[in-house]
Amino acid sequence: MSETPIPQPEKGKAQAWQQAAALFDQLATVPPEARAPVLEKTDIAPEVRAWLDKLLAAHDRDQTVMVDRQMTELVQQLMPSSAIMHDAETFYQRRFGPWQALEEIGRGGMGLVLHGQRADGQFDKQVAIKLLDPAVVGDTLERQLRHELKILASLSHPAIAQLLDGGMTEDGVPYLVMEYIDGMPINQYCHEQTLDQQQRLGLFFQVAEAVSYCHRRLVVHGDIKPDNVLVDRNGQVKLLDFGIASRLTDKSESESADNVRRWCSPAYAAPERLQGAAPAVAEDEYALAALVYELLTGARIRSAPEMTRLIAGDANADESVAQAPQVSLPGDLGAIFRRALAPDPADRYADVDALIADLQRWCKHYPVRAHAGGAGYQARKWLRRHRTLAASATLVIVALVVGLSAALWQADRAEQAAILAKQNAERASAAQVSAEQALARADQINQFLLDLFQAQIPDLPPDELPTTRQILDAGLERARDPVAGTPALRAELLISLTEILSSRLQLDETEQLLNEIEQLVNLDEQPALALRHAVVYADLARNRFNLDEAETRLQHAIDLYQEHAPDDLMRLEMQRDLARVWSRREELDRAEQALTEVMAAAEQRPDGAELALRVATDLAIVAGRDGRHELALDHFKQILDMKQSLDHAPLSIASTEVNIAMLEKMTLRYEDAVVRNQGVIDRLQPYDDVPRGIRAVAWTNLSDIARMRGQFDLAEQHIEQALAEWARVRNLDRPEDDFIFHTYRAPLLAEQGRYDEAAAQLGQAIPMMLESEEPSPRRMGLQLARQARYWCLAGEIDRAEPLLQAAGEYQHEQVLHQIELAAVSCAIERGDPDMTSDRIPEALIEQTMDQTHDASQTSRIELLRAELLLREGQPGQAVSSIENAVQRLDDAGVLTTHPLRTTADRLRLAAAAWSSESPGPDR
Amino acid sequence: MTIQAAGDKSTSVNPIDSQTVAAIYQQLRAAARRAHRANPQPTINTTALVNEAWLKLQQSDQAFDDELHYLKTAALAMRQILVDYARYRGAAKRDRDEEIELIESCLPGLDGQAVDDWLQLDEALEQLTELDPRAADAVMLRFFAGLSIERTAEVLDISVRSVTRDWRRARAFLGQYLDQ
Repeated sequence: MSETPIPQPEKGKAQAWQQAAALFDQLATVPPEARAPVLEKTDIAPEVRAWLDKLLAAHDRDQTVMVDRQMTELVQQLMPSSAIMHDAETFYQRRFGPWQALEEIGRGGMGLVLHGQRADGQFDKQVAIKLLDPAVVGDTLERQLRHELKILASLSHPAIAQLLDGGMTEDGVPYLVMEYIDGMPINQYCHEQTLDQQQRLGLFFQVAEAVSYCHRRLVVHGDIKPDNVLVDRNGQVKLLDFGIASRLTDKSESESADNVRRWCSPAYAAPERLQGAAPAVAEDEYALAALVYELLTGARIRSAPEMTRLIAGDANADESVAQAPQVSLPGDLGAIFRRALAPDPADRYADVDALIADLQRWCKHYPVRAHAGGAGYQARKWLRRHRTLAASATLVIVALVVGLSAALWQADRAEQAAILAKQNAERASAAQVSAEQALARADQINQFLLDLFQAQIPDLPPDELPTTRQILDAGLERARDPVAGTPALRAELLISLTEILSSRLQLDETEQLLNEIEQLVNLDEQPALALRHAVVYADLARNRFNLDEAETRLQHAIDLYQEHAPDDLMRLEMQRDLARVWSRREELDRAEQALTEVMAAAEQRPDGAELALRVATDLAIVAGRDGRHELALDHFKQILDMKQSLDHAPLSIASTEVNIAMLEKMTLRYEDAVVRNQGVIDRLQPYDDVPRGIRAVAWTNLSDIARMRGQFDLAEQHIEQALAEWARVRNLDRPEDDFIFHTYRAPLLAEQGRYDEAAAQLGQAIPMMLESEEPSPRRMGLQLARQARYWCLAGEIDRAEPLLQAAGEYQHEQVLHQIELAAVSCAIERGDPDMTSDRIPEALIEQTMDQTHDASQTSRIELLRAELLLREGQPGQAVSSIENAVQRLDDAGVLTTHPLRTTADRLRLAAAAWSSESPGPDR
Repeated sequence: MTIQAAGDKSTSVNPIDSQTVAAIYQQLRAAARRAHRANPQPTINTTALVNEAWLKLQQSDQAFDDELHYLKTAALAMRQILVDYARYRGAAKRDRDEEIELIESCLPGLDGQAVDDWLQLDEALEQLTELDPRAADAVMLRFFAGLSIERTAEVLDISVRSVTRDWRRARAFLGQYLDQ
């Protein structure tokens, strides 16, 4: 943030204000009709009077000015959350994806429910659209929301209302679209249909089995109550809102008890939940027990006064919550409820299935397990295991992030297989054994993850969360411990941690871990592991700019995918990366061909759109590098259109714009380029506090253009801006620690005739380039040749020689061209007798334009030719070169103050003098 | 909180340097985040935020011995936050992927009109600062730092009557400006 000096108003204006202000202070409290005498008595200048009238009018209007309101109130009134709850009507008829909202059908602590239907009327599908109060959901990112919705949408069970769609509206309101259920709450249904005990239990078993199904999929409901359990006309039970309370609510901080009570139903919620614990399996189980208790006895587990106290936030309420409810049922049934509603989760049933099983035993008059001794121990044991499976949504997200979702899903399938196997009594079947092994392994992985979070980090205060690094270190320590499990399991843990380290660019550590994994298991026998291993290895080489190794690694990864998972999108991603390696190595034809193939494959796939867009960008970059600038420009303009129509983020759009600006610069559309670069900088302005490479590039572009046009001060200013931003991006203390600092400074200095300084700058840049990354041969050669030229121009020919030789090692068209330019400069400086205008043929000049896209540099060469021609006594040809050069400067909008203009004028005069003295041979 | 004498009432406080604004800006955002976590109902209690940032800064090495200086800087930072935020909302309503950490969590949904209001208020205040620095101070301290008239008088070391007059003048100016 730079301090902007407050501009001084013109004296007259300030004085007028002062007088008006004084009069206003005097008159404001006087009633309007009593002001006339004062106004008449005083001699007031017209501009003072104008101010005064405006101020008094504003004062008298007695309107509310923005600053009158408390900022709190001001901000609150603009809240969409209040809009949701207070202005439900504003959502009527609105579109939510393909769905159209109709009227409100309900509301609750979490939001508003609207009836909806297909907007296109294509088929007669009824839906319920649930708008979540953003205040409850918290600052969930849209991406995160979509991720959650995907998990919830994958829940498919006849007793669960199917989630169909969801997302976030333009104004940031999260919404869910689900199957519309025409039914009534289960308790009301039982009452109206006067169902008997067996029928009630039958309905309850449907509910409980659905909950159990979700628990196996690691989703906790979090808000089970009769309002969320509907029974439709066919007697089918439907659970609503699965996972919303547990997954979509704000988890930025552990919830306060007050906040939970705000929308949790105190008649059913478990004590630990009411005290602020995150939703977990044990809480769902408690709520289910409370529900069935109500269905069977007609009474709720908590009395009405107790619930009032809870809702009102009475301090004494906590105590009563922590006590076991009075279960007024005799015998076995009483025992079942005492156990299911135990205040301590460890004393409850192991899981929902166990509750179902015991209730079924009771129905059939078998002895129930609720009495069984030692159950507490078993329950505790189970809980320790299953907390991990579904304890908190956060944990599950971590599991997904570290790439264990596959393992968990497999385990889930395996578990179902195991249950089936048991039912079929095929006790010794091999399938069951392997299924149980897979399940056990997933449990171990979960246990591992949970332990990471519960691990005691030394010296960490108990109320502070560990950092990612601390968690990772704890994880590594455990995964390396042979006691943690089989080598295969440990390898899986290690690769997950390695993926995290790799994404955090901890390259040395990544490599070390990859080696460890290789030694731990035989990757040939573990294809899933081998794929992940290969991808991380390829990323490692790329991140180190080790292009040869990256190529080998990528090819290996591609082969592995080809063999084990040919349809995986990752295979195409790897192929794209390989093509980009080629592009980086300037093997452009090869890169282009490979990218074209990836593009074709991506376009065929429903999930390939984003990849296709990225590949389109790669193709444009390749065309640009290959000198096909007009083509690249067209590509990028198309990409810009695509991104705009796909409503891409401003940063994504800015990155395309900056590429377009660069190409506009190269094709000499300086005006367009300046406007576009400024546009990029403006677009990024709201992100001012975040460093952005794009912004740095835009400043660099602007600086280049200013330099070429001869606006050296402006160029210097933009370079400062660019370099400061680069330093921020690369997290450097000083901009000069980056070679870019020197490579950008050099041409600006050279353009001003400060050749020795320019050469010295490059002298600093070149070793840095060698150190910082594997430089492209073209870049290295160019900088060496440039440095040689600057030294020659500075008159230090000896220093140029070795540089020219070094540059000669890099065989590239552009490098050779730069070497030739340097050689010409050196020859002139040496006073080489062979140095004639033939050394600068028209072709060399055109080549300079094609390769540097720099009108001023090209004109400089052209004027050099003119100078030689003059010396050789050919003023006619010299004049045509001069005029060509001037035309170039004009076309590019180079300033009249540019030193080259002076040179051109001097040569013009010399040519004129020459021709008038003696008619030249070419006349 | 101790109140330091602000010294000569006619001279303004030490010049506010951008580094100070940046430091307070960070503190205010941190305070806003903490406030949001403690109470997810998204509201900003300006006074509380400003006070909390002040306490934090006092514990840090930053030298803010002059409370008036601090309050003016805090008000400026708060104004900056809101204007940045309004601009950000205006520029990128739907862009939550590349989201940057403004006080988004506290101000989730300024609509288009509100965005313009904030920007206009910012402009108006800039003009008022040129014409009538004292009236602008009154707005900054009262509105952006959340001080009462009495507190404003206290920290500026002028009479309540003066603040009332300054405030009235500022209101009239902003009223006519925002009404244009």
